[in-house]
Amino acid sequence: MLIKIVVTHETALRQKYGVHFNAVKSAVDRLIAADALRGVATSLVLLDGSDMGRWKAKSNNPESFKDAIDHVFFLKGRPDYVVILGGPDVVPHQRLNTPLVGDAADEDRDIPSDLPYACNAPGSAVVGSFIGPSRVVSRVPDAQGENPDVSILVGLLDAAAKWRPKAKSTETYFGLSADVWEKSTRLSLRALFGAKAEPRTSPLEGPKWTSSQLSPMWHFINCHGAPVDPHFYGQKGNDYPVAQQADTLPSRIRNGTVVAAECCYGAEVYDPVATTGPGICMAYLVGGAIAFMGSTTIAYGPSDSNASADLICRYFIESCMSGASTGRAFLEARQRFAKEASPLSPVDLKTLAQFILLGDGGLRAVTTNRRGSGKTSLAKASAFLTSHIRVRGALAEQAVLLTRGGETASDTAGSASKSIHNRMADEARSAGYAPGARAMTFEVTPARDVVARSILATGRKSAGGRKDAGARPDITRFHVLQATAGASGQDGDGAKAMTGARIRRRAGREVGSIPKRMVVVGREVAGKVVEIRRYYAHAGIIAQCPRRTEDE
Amino acid sequence: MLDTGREQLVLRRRGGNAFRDQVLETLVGRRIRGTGSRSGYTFVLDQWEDDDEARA
Repeated sequence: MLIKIVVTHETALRQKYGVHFNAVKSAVDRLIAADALRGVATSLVLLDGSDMGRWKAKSNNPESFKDAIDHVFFLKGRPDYVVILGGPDVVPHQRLNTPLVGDAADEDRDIPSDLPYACNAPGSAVVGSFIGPSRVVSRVPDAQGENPDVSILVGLLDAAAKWRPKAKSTETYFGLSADVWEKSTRLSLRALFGAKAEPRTSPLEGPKWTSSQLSPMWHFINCHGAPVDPHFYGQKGNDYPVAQQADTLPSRIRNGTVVAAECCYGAEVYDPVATTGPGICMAYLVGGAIAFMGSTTIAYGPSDSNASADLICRYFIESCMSGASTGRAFLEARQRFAKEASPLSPVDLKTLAQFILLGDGGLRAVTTNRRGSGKTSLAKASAFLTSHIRVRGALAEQAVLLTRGGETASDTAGSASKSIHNRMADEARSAGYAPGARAMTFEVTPARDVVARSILATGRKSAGGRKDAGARPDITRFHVLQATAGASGQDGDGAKAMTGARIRRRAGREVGSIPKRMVVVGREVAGKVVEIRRYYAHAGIIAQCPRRTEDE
Repeated sequence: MLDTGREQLVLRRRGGNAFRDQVLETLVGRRIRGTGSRSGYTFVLDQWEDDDEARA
C-alpha cells in the first residue's frame, strides 16, 4: 500500500463551514475509501489536533504550519503523498522573500508558496533554502471569502474519489498562447506533443472556446494574468483581449483535464469579493480538472525561446504524460528545473518558489505499465511497489544532491559597478526604455558540497535539450536592472474606501494597465559579463529578447 | 495607476480588462472619490465620483 496524508486545520474549516464541516469530513471519508480500493492508505491529519502537542499548527502563524507538516511527515513514515486540504485561509502558503530585491524588485513583495512544505529543510523565508524538494505535495483548495460554498470542496474531494485514470496518454492538447509569445509556446508544445504542434493564439481566438476545443486532456497556457482576475489575456501590440474566462470553463472541459498555466497569478486562490468571480484555476477544478499547476505571483518566460516558467510547466506535463501521478510529476518538474537551471538566478529562484499544484497529487491522468507483469495479483502488486520505491528513492537522492550541490543567487544584493550598469542601461535604452538608476548584483552562493555539485552538473541539459556534460562555465554573479519604475506593493487586503485619489497615467501606458517595464539580466563568469538578456515585463509576464553574448 | 497620496496602486475596474480599460482611461488626471476592494497592490474600483467634475 502507498501512503497518503490529507492535512488540514480543523478549527479553520469549522469556522468557515459551521455545521457543514461534517460534509467535508464525510467527503474525506469517501476519498479514504476510494483510495483504499486503489492501493493507497489515506488518513486525515488535523494539524491543530490535540495529539499534535507542541507541533500544533496555530491560526495566524504560518510558520507553525510548516513545523506541523514536517512533524507529521516524519511521524507518518514519509508518506508518498501529502495533500493539503483547503485554501490559503485554512492552511496558509509559506510566504517567501522575493529573490528580486532592492532596485531589482517587481510588484511582488513576497511569494505565497507551498514549496517549503515539499522540503525537509526547516522553515525559512529564503527561497534558496528550498532548492531540494523531496516530497509530493499538492493542495485541494476550497472557496475563499465570506459565506463560502461547502459544495465546492466536497465536490473536489468526490471528484478525486471517483477519478479513474485513462488507459493511455493521448497527444491531443489545448495549447493557448498570447500572440506575442507564440514562438515560445510553439517550442513548448512541440517538445511535448510532436513536431507539428501549434498553439492557438490570442488574438485572434478565444475566449468562447467550445467543449470540443477544450476536450483534450492536456492544457498548456502561456498568456497574461493579473491578480484577483478570472481571466487570462492575450496580447498583440497594445491589444490585450480576454483569452480565457473562468465562467465558461466548468461546463466545457472534460473530467481529468491536466493544466499547466504560465500566467501570472494563474494559481492564485483568492476571495472573489474583489472581482467578478473565482479564478480560472478554481473554475478548472470545479469543472473536473484533476490538476492545475500555476503561479501565485508574477511569472517569467521568454518570447521566442524557453526558460523559467516555460520549462517547469513543460516538465510537469511531460511527467504526467509518462504516467506519473500529478504530485510526483510536479516534484519531478521542480527537481529537473532546479537542476537544469543551476545556478539559479533571482528570476529562476522565483519560478521555483511560485508554482504550486492544485488538486489531489495522488491521482494520475493516465495509467502506467508499472503494475508489473507478475501472474498473480500479489506478484503484480509486489512488482509495482518495488518500482515505486525505486522511483521515489531516486527522487530522494536527487533532493539530497540539489540541497548539497545546487547553487543559487544570494538573497541579498549590492549595487552593480558603474560600467556594468552602463552596459545594461544601454541595453534598455536600445529597446526604448529608461533604465533605473541602479543595477543590482547578486553573488552566486557556492554549493555546500563540491562532489554533489559535480554529480549534478554531469549530464545536465541546456534549455534546448543539449547535454552540457558539466562543461557550462561557472556563473559567479548575476546583475539585474529594472528599466522602469514598478508599483509600490503593500501588504494587506480588504475593502477600502478612498477619497480624493488622483488617477495617473504610468509612463504613457493605459491607466488600467499592470505596470510595464523591462528587466535586464546579466550573467558574469570570472569577472566578465558573458551574457545579457533583455526581459520585457508586462503584467509581470516577461518577454525575453534573443540572448547576446560578449565579453566585457 | 491610483495615487492615493500615500501610495500608488494598480487600478482596475470590477469586470474590466486588467490591461486596457477605456473607461479608466477617461479618468486619467482626474481626482475621484470612490469605493472598492484592495488585494495586494491592486485596487478594484466598484463605483466612483469625479471630484473635479463636481467642482466644475
